[in-house]
Amino acid sequence: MRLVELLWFFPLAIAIALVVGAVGRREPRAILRSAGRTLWTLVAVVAGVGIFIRLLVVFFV
Amino acid sequence: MMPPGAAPIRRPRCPSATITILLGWIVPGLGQLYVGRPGKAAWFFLWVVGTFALGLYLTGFAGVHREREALWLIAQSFCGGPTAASLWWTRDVVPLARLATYDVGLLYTGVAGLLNAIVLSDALGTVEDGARAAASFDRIEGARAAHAEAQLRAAEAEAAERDALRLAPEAVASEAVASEAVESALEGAFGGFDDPAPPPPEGAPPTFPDDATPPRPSGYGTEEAR
Repeated sequence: MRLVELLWFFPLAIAIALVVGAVGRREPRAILRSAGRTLWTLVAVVAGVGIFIRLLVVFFV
Repeated sequence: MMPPGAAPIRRPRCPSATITILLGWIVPGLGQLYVGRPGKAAWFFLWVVGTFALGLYLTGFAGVHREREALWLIAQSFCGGPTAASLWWTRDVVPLARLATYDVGLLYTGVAGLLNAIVLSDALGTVEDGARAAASFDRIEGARAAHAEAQLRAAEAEAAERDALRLAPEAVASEAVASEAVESALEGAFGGFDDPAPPPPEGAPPTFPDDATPPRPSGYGTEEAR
């Protein structure tokens, strides 16, 4: 899998963030704020782990 | 007391957790609709069913299968209705070639199922909120009823006391009339109690009642008397 293929997971991350952000909240603004934070966390974790593994491969394999 | 023009407060609805789970499992978001959150119901339906449908499309409509994708079916089955419908509608689909997006599609359908588990937990949270609100309402209504009853009892006691005070002079008067009647009856029977004794004849020794001691002369028991 190439790093670009990670883009396939971006819509999934958006869906996860919007659903998880709406759980337990009622105001639309709170939902969107929470969804934004969740999306940022997901992207940072997935992209970070992906880049880290890619760097490992580049340097040591 | 309720302010004039205010609408009466209704008891909060207490939806059933079992029905909520069942409805939300069959159709994502239906649990929210049942507990009275139509906006969230539409929101969850859109994202969960949309993710599931996109995943199914990416797998070439072959991603939901009992034998081929048995492990993924566990995750997908949290979306009961869409998974059952896909199993039924795509039962005859045979993948001729594995699509490049097949694995991503499987992930989409599986994640959609797991997202529905989160959606169900949200609906259950709303059920719990409703139960808590209903319990608070019952407690407040009970206290209000007890307060009203206490006020009623106090008003009754006050009215009884007022009646007693109003009747008191009449009771005293009727008691006086009764005692007068008894007195007159006794007087008629025994000649009365208040007649003074006839005076003793002239020169007769003084008489004393049986239980009375005659008066002692002055100086009795002193040295002078001896």
